[in-house]
Amino acid sequence: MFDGIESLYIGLGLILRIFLVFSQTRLRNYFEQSGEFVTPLNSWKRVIEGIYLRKLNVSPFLGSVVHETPLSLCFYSKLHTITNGHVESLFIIADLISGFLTYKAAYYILHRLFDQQLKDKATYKDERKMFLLTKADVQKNAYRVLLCAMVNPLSIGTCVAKSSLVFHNLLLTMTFYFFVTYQLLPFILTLCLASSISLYPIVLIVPGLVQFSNNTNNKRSIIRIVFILILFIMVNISILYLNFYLNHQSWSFIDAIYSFIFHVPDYTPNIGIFWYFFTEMFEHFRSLFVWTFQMHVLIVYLLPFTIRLRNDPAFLFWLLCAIFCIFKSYPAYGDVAFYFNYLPIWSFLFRYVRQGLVITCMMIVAALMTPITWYLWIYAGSANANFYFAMTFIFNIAQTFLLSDLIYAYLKQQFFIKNGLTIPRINGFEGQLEFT
Amino acid sequence: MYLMQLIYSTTFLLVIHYCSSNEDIYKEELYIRPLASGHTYFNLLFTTVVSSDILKSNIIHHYHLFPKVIADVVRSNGVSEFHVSLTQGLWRYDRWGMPIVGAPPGAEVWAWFNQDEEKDVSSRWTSFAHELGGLLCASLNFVDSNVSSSSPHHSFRPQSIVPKSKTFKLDNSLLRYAVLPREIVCTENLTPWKKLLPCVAGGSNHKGLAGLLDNAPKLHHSAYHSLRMDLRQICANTECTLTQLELSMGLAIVVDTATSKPNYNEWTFRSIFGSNIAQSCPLSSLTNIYVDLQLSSTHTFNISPEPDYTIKQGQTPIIVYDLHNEKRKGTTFLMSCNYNKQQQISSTDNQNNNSLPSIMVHRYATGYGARDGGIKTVIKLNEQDQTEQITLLYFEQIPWYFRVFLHTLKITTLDDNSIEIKPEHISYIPGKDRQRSYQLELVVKTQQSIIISFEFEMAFLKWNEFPPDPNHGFYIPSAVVSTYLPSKSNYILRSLNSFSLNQSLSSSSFDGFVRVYSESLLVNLPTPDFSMPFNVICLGCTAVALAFGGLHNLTTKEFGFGEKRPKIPFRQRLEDLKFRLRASRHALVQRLFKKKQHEHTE
Repeated sequence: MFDGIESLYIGLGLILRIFLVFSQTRLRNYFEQSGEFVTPLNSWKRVIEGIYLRKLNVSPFLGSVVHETPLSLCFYSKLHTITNGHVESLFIIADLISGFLTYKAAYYILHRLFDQQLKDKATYKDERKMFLLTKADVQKNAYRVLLCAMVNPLSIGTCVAKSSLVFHNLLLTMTFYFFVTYQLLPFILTLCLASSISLYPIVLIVPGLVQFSNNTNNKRSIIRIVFILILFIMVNISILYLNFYLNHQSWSFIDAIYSFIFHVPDYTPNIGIFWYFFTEMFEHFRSLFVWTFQMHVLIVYLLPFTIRLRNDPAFLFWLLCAIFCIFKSYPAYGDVAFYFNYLPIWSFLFRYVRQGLVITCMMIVAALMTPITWYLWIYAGSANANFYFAMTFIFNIAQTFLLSDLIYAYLKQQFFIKNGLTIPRINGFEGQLEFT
Repeated sequence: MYLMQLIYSTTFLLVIHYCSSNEDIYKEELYIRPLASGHTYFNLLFTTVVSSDILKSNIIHHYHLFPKVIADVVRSNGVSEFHVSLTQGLWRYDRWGMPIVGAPPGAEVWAWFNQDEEKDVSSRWTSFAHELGGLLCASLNFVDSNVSSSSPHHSFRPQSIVPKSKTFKLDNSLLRYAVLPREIVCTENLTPWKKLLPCVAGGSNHKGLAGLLDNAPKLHHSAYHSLRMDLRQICANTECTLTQLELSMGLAIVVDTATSKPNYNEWTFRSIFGSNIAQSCPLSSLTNIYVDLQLSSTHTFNISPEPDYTIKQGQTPIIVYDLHNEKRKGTTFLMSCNYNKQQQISSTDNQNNNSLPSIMVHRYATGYGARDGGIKTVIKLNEQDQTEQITLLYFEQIPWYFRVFLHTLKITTLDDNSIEIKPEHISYIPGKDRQRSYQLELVVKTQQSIIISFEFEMAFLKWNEFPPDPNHGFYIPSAVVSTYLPSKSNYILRSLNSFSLNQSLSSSSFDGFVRVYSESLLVNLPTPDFSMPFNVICLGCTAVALAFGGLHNLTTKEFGFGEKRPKIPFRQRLEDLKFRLRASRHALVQRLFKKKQHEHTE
């Protein structure tokens, strides 16, 4: 079933997770309480509270502690009863599955890139072949993705913290997997489920339209687009109705989940910028900035990216994921881990990245300083919220730099493939590469 | 002519007689209990009973003894009964025993509303709290928002005694309970409260027991100070065909009366209240002073004047003074008491245990840091007189910024943490951010002392949601434990049959109902930096702008080959800059020069 390297990597991930979950209680407690791994939206403690309230016949959505959909609450409650409260192993299994699916998706993407290049190879001049992927590269990069998913401390931390983000990421990974393997119905289903939990994945229907609208002779058809859209809306409505039905025919969960995500009423610190921004916001500007920030995540980049990257829906999908993982209202390290794990796919772009060192340093400093400033603020009382915010701010900026640098590298590589490396003479003078 | 005048005056007198002769009763009582800790507990109680007709809106009323403002407030808001207390300090159950009626630190209001009204209960509650707050000079207006109000199902049953129809069902939506632990009680609350009494004249020349209230600062020189007012309906006769209104106003203070000599206590009316009782109030039908000599088994008392008579409540002797007694007419009543501890005391522990109240509540905040916390409530039962299980009603109202996790609720016995007790009933309403507080009610049947514990998480508030002193901390109101004691306790408690003491003392009307309040807790919430709003808004927008700028560039620009621009050496650039600077300075000088010339010519 698995080849040697795969089983080695998966075994490594399994051992790491088992070791941290079952033998390091102090570390586990740290992860479960840290605001970087656990947000109000995905804390397992709140899930347990929801299950407990359901047992008491109190609607979990009456208060503002539980923010899971009735469907997922139902699912977790089943998990909870099956395992008799010991859900850790299920978290490990879910995390490993999503790691493996990430690897599979990466393999498909790389394979497709390789095939595409083989097809176009004839048109390339000799000198451009240095940009091309080799067969060995495909497998190597895919293995790297698997290794990254298995040992990424952010993934492991999310799993150890029992953040329900593990299951959400599994859904999102499945969406990506079905996306790259051209399976429309499972794709729509998992996408709708994922967006019913955290709202933001709804934008991923756009790369879905780009991917699935091609008909047999590689032309986009309007009919297909309309069909996919209708399907998407229908599935969304039925999931919404299912939630409504499971919540004893009450819409109270809308307020507890979607309004909670959109209007950001909870200012518990996390790695995003929303919490401190809206803590310090003046009341009369609040709605303006809430709408601006949410539109910034959901809509602003949708059209430009789609137009720019219409020929590479996989990259577009990944990019939109990264955007909403950075700028969503309650981000956690689990979100970062989700898009980080795919990075090795595009490792052939790394040579064009301009600020690699700066970004790496910023990320490491921020990741290390965040718990320290948190301790100083909350427990020691010798620092204040600004210190913690500074770190989350740096982490955010580093992520945006990474993203824009990668797009830059992607565009440059595309350009080189098309035009070669030799710079022609222009009007008799020496020429240069420009980005205008 | 004379005849006419006679007729007129007779009818006038008759009208006055009619108006005042109905069964309006006013009673004044003072209950005194020396405490083992060296403090003395004084409880002044003024009870007015009037016909409930004054709440009818279609007739003009004569307010004989009843304060008109209260009647107006109650009538206009359709209140069926209300209870308000303003308390400074904490009643120490373990050292002072049971109070006649307990109160939490700060302000507490609860009211039942009448059903058949056009306005909904919430709006009536708001206006009632505002009016009552204005009446007592207290910030009761803060109770109106749902943040600090709740409607408990079981803990606050109506105390009115009215005939209940068979279809009658208690609807807790008619009840509002609110508590403001941060409220500070001072003389400004005492003065308007005092003015509601019938025997309080203008100036400071009050008659009856109200005369003791003249010196307000003295009354606040105490370890515990609690003002309260209760209004309810009671039956006028045994068949309960008619109802009356009973307004009970009480002031409880606990004063440290220990002297510099060890084990020797001394007080007089003048040392406690700053005045004596000059005259009795002519409107009162009863003016009694009770001294509870619970300590007489261990202390020798020397009280003057001689009591009128002594009654026995269980084992404790209570001496009584009747101020309406013929022999005291026209004389000033002054009282003094000194007592010290007897030397020979046998079996101290036994004595101590006897004086411990049957139920005590203590509460602690647990956890460290400003992120997670918990509450541990210890309910101690005096196991000596506990022969059967008693049912405890535990009520907790926690502000929304402490997010309670009910699944961490754990009830164990005090002695053994491993024995868990399952509550008979849990009624829980989870709080909602900025809208509703968490309300928890538990029914626990137990024979032993228990610990109730649960955890919460602290919310991070907006910078403008903090009160002026954010690092003072936030209060969690007292937990309320209500129960019926199965056996008669050593303490005088307010019985539900009659709020005035003389009836609860004489009759066998013991019902054992007690409501015990725990400490209120003060917990620190994590604070943001209050001086930073502009900086943070700028930084937040910078993060978004950086992303937007970069990505906008990348999606709108295109790679291409262009003409190479010649590279200019650094020295050359510097020269250019120098030249440009010189030129601009030259231009500036010329312009200024021109301006000056212009002014000169003018």
